[in-house]
Amino acid sequence: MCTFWSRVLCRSVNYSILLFHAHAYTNRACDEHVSPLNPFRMVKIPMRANDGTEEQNLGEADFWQLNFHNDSVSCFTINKEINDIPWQILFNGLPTDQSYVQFESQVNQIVFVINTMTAQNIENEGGETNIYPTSIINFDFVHCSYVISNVIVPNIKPRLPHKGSSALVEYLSSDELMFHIGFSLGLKDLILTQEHPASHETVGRSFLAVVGALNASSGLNVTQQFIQDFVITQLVGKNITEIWQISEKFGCRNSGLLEQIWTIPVIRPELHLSALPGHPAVAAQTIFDLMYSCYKSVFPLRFGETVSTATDQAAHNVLNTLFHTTDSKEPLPLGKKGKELTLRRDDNMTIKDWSLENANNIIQC
Amino acid sequence: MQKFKFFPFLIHSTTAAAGRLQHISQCKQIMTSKTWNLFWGSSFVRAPLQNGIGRYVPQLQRITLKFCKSTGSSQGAREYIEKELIHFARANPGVVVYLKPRRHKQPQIVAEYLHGEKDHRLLKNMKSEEIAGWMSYMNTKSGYPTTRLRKYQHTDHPSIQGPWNQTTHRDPRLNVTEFPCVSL
Repeated sequence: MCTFWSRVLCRSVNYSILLFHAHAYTNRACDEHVSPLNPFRMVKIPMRANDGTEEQNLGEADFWQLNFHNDSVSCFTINKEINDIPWQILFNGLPTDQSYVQFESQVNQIVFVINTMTAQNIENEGGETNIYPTSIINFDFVHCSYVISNVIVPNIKPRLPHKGSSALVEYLSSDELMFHIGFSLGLKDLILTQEHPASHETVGRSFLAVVGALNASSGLNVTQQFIQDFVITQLVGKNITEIWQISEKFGCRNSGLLEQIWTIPVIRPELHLSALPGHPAVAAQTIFDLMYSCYKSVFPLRFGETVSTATDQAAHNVLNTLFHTTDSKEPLPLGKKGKELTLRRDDNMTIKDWSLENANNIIQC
Repeated sequence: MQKFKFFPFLIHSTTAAAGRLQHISQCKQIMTSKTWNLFWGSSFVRAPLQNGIGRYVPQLQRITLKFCKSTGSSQGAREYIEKELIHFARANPGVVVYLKPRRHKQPQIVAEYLHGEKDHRLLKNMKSEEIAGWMSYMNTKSGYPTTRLRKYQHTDHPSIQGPWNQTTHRDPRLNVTEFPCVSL
């Protein structure tokens, strides 16, 4: 009996990692009827998988084996229907797309694995071959999204409501960003796929697979640091208002939060809009933002702004101040500061939980 | 027409066009900004994938050194391969180094970066030390094409208190004044 590695990639909904171990039997009773002239012979090999605690019997696979006397090389193909097996395998340590394995199995029909005789000789002499112990590591590729949503975002934007953090997570987990990061890391040259060049979707999924593999091999802390360094840094230079449209989400102007603020006369923003173009006594003032007027005679701003736009902008800026997303706030804790973060696991507050007591950045005097 | 001298600190990488001007950092030609922008353009400081903010990833993916085994113009390249290339490869384990002997061809290096950009440099008649310098140069580049830098720094928050507008330094009484007001 000799052992060898067979690399199989079956239906891959998620890019989980599985190391599969199969036993190969070169001399079987079923092969005795094969004519010596036939270059191939069918071999039934039991497929087993070991998850570290127990060994699972996954049935038998049919292999075409070269009809060599010395069996120095075994070539086989997988005829078994493996789509029903809910595990996937990392093909030779590289992110592999399902299309690649399907292509390999359909066109070639024969896959050379290793020199079984050489391996057996080495084992007989007490040496070690490059055969790794059997193990099954099954995880979900959405670990990337999990880490971003549950671990990192609540810590870098603690005062952001849950809707805002969800929008951030959605942006950071988007296919475009995953492709951009994977492509910029040179992943396109490592992916085994039938198509060339690899599609955006394939590159993005491969990056997720790499994150999942990192989590499986090194743990959550290393994965967090990896995602901080490569995914969260994509927020640098981005305006959060571009990612999360506050006014469109829940009508900030009429939200109860703003009503609370409006009732406090001290801190009520002195909003004022006045533009009287052409009047000689008063300079026509154009308001960039944060201005609103109750005056009846309201003229359009010089740059085409209207009252509704000014109102929206004023409310928008108030919410930015409450959520600590203004430009004057501290930058994202990345690099050395990111390593010192004591990450918490709870979600951000929802918009319903927001109140003036929680908005402690407003000074009342 | 105003002319600008070709200062070395303006150059951050080379392209095929710039490759024709060897030793561009030492060039004593006076090139107009129009010509410079025509060939190389201008841009702001940027880093691929915000490199360096989280962790620094060397952008050089693979470098190919083409040389001839016999011609005199590749003498420096051969000497570099014999003496210093191994040190470069050991110091940069993430970079794949290829050697391509090409008969009767001029020596050159072709650098490929993670995000797909390429750059090449002719090494004709260069000494081993010069080639080592250019290898180090390719290794530390971002891989983006050569452009003139408009600014040497970048910030996402150019203003903390807000940019100036026409009401920045205006009298606060304007907020509670009914217009038209003759005094204001």
